[in-house]
Amino acid sequence: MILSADKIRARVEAAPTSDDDWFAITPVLDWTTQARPGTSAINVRLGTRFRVPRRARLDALDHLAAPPSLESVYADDVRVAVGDYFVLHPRQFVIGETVEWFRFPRTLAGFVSGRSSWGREGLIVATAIVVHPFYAGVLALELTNLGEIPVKLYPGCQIAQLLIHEVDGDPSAKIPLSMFMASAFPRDPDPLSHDRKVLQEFRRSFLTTTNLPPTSAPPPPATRVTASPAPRG
Amino acid sequence: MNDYEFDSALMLSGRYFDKIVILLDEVARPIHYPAPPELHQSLTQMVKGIFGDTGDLLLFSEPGINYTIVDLVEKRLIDIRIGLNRYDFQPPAGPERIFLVGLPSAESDQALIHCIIAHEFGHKVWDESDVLIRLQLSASVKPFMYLDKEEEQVAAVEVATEWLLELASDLFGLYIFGPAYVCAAIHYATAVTALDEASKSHPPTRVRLHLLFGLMDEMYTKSMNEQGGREFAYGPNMSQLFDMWRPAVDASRLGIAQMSSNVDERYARTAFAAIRNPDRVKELRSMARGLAQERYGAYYKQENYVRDMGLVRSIRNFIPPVQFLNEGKSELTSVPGILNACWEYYLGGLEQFGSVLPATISSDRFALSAIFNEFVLKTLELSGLAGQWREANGS
Repeated sequence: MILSADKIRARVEAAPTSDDDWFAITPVLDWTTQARPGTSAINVRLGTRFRVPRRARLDALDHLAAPPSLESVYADDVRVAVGDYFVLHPRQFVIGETVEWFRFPRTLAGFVSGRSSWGREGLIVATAIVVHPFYAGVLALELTNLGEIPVKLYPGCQIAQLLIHEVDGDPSAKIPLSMFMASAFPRDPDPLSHDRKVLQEFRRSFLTTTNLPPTSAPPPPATRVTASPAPRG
Repeated sequence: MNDYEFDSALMLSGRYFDKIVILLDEVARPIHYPAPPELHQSLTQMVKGIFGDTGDLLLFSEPGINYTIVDLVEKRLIDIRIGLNRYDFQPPAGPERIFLVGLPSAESDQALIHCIIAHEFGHKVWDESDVLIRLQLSASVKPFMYLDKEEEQVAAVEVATEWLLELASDLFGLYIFGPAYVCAAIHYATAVTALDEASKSHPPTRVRLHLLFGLMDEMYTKSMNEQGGREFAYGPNMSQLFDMWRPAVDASRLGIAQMSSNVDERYARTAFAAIRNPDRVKELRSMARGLAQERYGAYYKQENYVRDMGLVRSIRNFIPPVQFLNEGKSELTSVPGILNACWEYYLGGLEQFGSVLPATISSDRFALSAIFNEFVLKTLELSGLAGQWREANGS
């Protein structure tokens, strides 16, 4: 069941019966506009940190070949103070974050969705939308401008909405922890972390069978091919 | 304009131009050596709290081990403004005070240690309370003088006054941040100096900690037990740290015999005598408390500390202690409250923090420590933002 805005507020403000049960959203800068009575979501605000991909440093993101941490080569960290703005250009993709820090209890999960008012400007705010029980940290926002015109994004504005629903499951079951747990900012992704070993094995065997050079190997140095001189005589 | 007038104008503008260049250089430093931006808002609010609403802050980190503070208005802007006025140019209105605060770059992301900044603010506050206090401090040294020659007396008073001002700034730090200041002082001071090392400008760390412990234990005594011993209000982890340190900073361990310094022994003896006199200490404490109350509105009391220790539960559950949660109201926590709760949690060991993180992170001590530092910085950022938002919203 999806929680109404009233219920979200009541759950956050209620004293937790146990640590497992503690549901927190902090800081909610203005409950009256972020969780309007009668709605079924809480609006979340845009944070001050953006990760902007650096196209010039990588030919492709290859999580199988490269080490998991790509931060230094993959993206620039851009800080924008509240009061200033970030310009998102058409077809540009950046990672933003929410102002709010969430801590989900065992019995709740959420999913992030765009707000229609931003959607009409062509702004997509989240593609990986699910937030699992026990997650703690800010939410990463995958921001893309699908529109034709650059959009100014002001940190502090209400950028997306979070729907929260109950999770029905075995209360004693061990819940796997997210690799992004306790994220104070969007951390480096490692989407192949669960399957890397197996996929690398497949890759090795594929390369052996097809006799192809590994794609991640550096290209051979450029050499000039010249025809052998014809034998004289 | 005759030649003389022209030369004078040229000389004058040259002088101001130099100052502008120096100012630009100082202002550019934060761009080249940035400090964590998360700290900016919280510290700016603190600057405004101490120095008034027209104060502002430029924060940077520098490759050194010291915290530094420069008052740009006092040092540069006033002269430049006078210079500009001379040419009938009205500079645009700006903050009346701008502090350039430098953090040691190697530790710039370790917010817990930055409680030491209160000591630097303390120096400014003491400086501003000005000549009177300096004279009062100097005069208080004289009864302890063992010297006949006048120039030696002057030199001894100077050393003792410098030492007293250092101690007074420590006390100011304690009044602002409470036990968190002492935790930071223990970690910072012992990392950069030996316990008995002193100089003309700084007394031995052991003396500084002795004085801090004396005042802190008085401020945070909950009750006296039947044996006449004190029951403290400290959280269990801070309590353990302080118990470990108390014997090392006991009065019996103070003395100039073990002091390592290039200060003339007779001057040091004078300074020691002044510092160890109970009346002087009492006077110093009361002046520091008065200044903290007058300049910061209030000092960090035992009841604040006891309430803030409740925030440790938030941290244990990965919730930044920005607001007092779950009480049906959203009261914001204070920067000293956040830092005290974070210190209490940190002293319990980061293993507990790691126990609820994926094994790839919790097994790496550096990663764990980095994540905890990010958590503290994030808490300060959110606290600063929430305070700023309320102010802008008029609530």
